Amino acid sequence: MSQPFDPLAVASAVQQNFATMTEAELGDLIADDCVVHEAPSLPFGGDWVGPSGFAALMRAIMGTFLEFSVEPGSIFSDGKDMLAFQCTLHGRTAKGSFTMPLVEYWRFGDGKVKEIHAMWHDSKQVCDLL
Amino acid sequence: MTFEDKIAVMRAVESLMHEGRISEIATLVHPDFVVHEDPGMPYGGVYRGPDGFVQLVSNVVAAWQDLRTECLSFLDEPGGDGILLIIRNSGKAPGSGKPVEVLTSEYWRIVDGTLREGRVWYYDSPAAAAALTEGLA
Repeated sequence: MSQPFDPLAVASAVQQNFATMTEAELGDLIADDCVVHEAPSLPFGGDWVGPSGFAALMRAIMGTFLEFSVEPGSIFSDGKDMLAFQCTLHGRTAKGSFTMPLVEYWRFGDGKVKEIHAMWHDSKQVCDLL
Repeated sequence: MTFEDKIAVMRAVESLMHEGRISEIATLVHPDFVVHEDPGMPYGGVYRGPDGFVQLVSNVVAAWQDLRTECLSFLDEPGGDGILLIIRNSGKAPGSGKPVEVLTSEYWRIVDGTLREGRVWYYDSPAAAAALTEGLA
């Protein structure tokens, strides 16, 4: 008997293992037509589609910074199909380091992640450090 | 406060803003209030207290021509004081007259009916800031 769908469990699994999950593992959680929206001004900006797009985005982010880590924060829910996560990002480039809050909106459908919007609190600072 | 209580406070702030009764928003803001606007926006920075919040709203209204704010979703922080809003801001750039639209997220911590803390994110603040300031001296 299958477990009831738990958006928080899905999101937590992805967030805690985003840097190491294979595309096959991501495919169990992320829909084929899922779109992750990153601000076009960022070096890894644009729309990333499906599990392979998600994995490529993670590689792009990890490859942008000399160091990068995520400190989990509060979780929010609309009680229906959307969760939001606040977290604090720590990163370092050759020009300097940054610490900034990020918020992400995750929309779910048919038991998987369907859409993610990422909002960095100060995208300009990130761009200036690259 | 319940989720519905938090939404009611934010609806009250939104109504006062849209009705141009900006100074009255101060009655919903705690003296220790602090809000962090994206530093990359024309009105970015840290604003404190009721007067600071009124100043921020005034700065936002001045930076946009014909600003419209449409709240797309409210999200609750279960067991906490927070609420997140997903908002579509649209209007025109004052200098160029060109249309500008940006997806925004607002976090508010609300205790006993007053705002205590806020933080605002934009989907792409460098692009939004450039669009809003185009054509300005």
